[in-house]
Amino acid sequence: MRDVRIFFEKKDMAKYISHLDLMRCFSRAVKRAGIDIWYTEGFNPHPFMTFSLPLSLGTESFCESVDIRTNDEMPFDEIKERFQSTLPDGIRVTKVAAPVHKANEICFSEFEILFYTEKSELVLSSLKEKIGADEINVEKKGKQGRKKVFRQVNIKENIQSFDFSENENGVLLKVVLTAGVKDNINPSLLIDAITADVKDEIKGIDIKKTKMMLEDMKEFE
Amino acid sequence: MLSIKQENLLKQVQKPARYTGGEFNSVVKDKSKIKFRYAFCFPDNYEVGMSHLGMKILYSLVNAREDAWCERVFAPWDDMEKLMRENGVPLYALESGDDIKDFDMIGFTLQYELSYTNVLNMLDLAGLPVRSADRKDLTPLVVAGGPCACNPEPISAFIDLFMPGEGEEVTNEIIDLLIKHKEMGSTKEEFLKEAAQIEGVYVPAFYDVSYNEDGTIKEVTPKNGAPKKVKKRIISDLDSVFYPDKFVVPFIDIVHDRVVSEIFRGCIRGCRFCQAGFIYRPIREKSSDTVNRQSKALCENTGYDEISLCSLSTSDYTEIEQLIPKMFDWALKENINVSLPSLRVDNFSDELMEELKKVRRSGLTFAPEAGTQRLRDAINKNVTEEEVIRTAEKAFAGGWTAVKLYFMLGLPTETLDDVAGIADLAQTVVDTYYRNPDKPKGMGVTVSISVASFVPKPFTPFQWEPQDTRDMLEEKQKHLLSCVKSKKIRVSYHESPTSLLEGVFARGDRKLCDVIESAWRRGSKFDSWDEFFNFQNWLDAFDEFGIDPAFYANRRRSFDEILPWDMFDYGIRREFLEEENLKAHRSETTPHCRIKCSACGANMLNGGKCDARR
Ligand code: SF4
Repeated sequence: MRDVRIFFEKKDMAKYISHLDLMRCFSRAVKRAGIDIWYTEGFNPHPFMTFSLPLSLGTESFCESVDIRTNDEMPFDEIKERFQSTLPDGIRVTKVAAPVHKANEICFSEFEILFYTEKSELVLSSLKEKIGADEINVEKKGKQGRKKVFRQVNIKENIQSFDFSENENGVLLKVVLTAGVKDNINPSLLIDAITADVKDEIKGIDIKKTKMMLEDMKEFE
Repeated sequence: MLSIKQENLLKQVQKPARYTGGEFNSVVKDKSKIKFRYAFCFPDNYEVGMSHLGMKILYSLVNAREDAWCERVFAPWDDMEKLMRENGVPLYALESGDDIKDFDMIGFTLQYELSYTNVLNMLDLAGLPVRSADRKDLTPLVVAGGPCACNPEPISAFIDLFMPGEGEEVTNEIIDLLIKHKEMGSTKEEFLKEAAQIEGVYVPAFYDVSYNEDGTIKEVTPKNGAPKKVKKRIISDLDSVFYPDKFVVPFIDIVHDRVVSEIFRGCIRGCRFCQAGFIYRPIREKSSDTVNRQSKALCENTGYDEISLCSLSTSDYTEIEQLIPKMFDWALKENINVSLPSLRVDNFSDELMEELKKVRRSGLTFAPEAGTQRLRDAINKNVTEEEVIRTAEKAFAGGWTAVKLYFMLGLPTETLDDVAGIADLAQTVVDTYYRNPDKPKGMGVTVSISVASFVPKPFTPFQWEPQDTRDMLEEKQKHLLSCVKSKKIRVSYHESPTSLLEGVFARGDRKLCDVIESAWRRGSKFDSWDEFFNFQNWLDAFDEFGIDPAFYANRRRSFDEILPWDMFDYGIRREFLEEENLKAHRSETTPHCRIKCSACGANMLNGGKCDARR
């Protein structure tokens, strides 16, 4: 048995595949690829497969990863090769390697968020002001027993760094947010909080996840 | 690829993957090399439509042609529909994102009557007039097939042509003809005239219907050279007919998300209430080698871990004992589960039971359909109480502890005694469990009774029978509940006005086209979904045209009345159905086709051949 980490991109229409559906999609792709994956034991055996972090619906990513366990020692290159023709459009394996870090070592994710607008200047200054404020309060969904509850949280501390620029489509925000088992922040929370004042000026938003990092800001491998 | 305008909607809807396309094995072609664009529509949501085998077959069949591209279209859920209408995004096909109004042909598969309003809604959402007469151009031609096409009259005003019977051959013939007429620059009428000459094509506009004073049909007159009788199409040899080696693998969870392997068409049983048992005759089997080969290819190409065998009654397949070991041989190694629906454990060998125990299994189901022997004889459900008990014993000994029994209420000749018989039979099964000496320790048994209301359908011996009124059904339901004494028995029955509607449209005529259009204009769609169904809409629509639904649903028809589907030849002889009807009223059974051929006539569609006797 051997652990294998598969890095992949999830782009274009594939960004609309939910996390649960992606797991199913991968287990079928593994079967189609004829990779000898290890099955869990028990009454209902299923292919062993764990994703580093769930990606929210509608977000593109260049840096997703999933770990599988194979029964044989098929070379990494061959695994990568076999995946090329067994994944749907928009999902592409970029690297297959032995895992270096543990998934729970991930502490940060980097995002590129593009705000489509014709009034870049106005939008930019408003966004800057909001993100620079002392408090960024958002409503976070949680559970209290069985009930769904909303609570107010300040996510200011979750923003590690940010950087704005303008381009022909509008305003681009590069932001590093806390991520991982302890303090995962969905970028849409931040977006909702900082766009409230300029909603009408924003014609659309693209979110791309570009990097996953460890506590020391080294890239997750 | 979707346009930015289309994609913007996806960010605001639930389950956007319903509308993206791009699933594994979906077919994308180079538009510049294509002569013919076909939008295959399923008038229900993605999850339901993607589960349908017929669509998978025809999708792959058309895409096997180099000159044509077939794409999928489903009814958008109402969140998406609302956004599409608000933003001026017309109905598009999933593979290309192109508007279906620009396609050459739009085809609907009609699986249940309650999907009719969705057909209209999808045409409208595409930006097309819903009525055939208002669509003047040759293309897009709007066609329909599927089981409900055996009486298409209630939606005949909206569809240009119907294809009763099996679609594998006739679809290609229509595509060829339409390509020819497109190149010739023909009018729609010129095309339809020639299409009506193809066997198995019904062009409703070419038939004039006149009525008697009592509302029944007086005469049906074909014109433009259309045939008086349209014969349904069948595929003669299932071993050589096209079967896909790939299925589109959806991202989201759909109703039946697995490999489906068809093993035979038709049914030997002859249950008198069952339309499928008659309209798919004669019986034609696939060899176990073909089934095994096709199943294996599908598993390899889809990555599915489950195969379901598909037919009306799995255990009547003559080669089942050969097939199961062949399939298990590779399926178990690959962690693939083989499920056998409509299984009758009673005629299974012990070896087969052993094989079956190896795989995961869900609860066991039987369908006695009626509570007493008398009524089971009347509906020709040739299952005796003894058989039910023997089967239950075998199942309990095999470790099952939950049994589900299916029944119908409102069957012709049914009395309250028959209804009480349902509760009695369930009680007998409970008692059987507790008599079993090696029942699992400490485990109780649950017997669930699932009851549906009977709806009389065309081309069955009950096509002349009145459907029970809602009041009658309610009385029977109360009686059933009062007869159930044990806590081990659970009854699920949900009387709904939808079965009345189903009954009206199943045996309806052309006058109902107005009603359907009116109900749709009043907002009806997704009628088979509780959350959308609005009975008042329908009552208002019937009222608007002075039509009494009881005329269609609850009236006994005489043998000499002209029925709306009489222009179709489904192979089954009229006299055979009449005889079967009379026998039902005498509670007399007819042996199944493997014991004795009852000369139903369907074999004549296949040169006298019928695999029931192989
Ligand atoms: S032809 Fe005979 S054996 Fe075949 S379906 Fe009809 S009755 Fe049954």
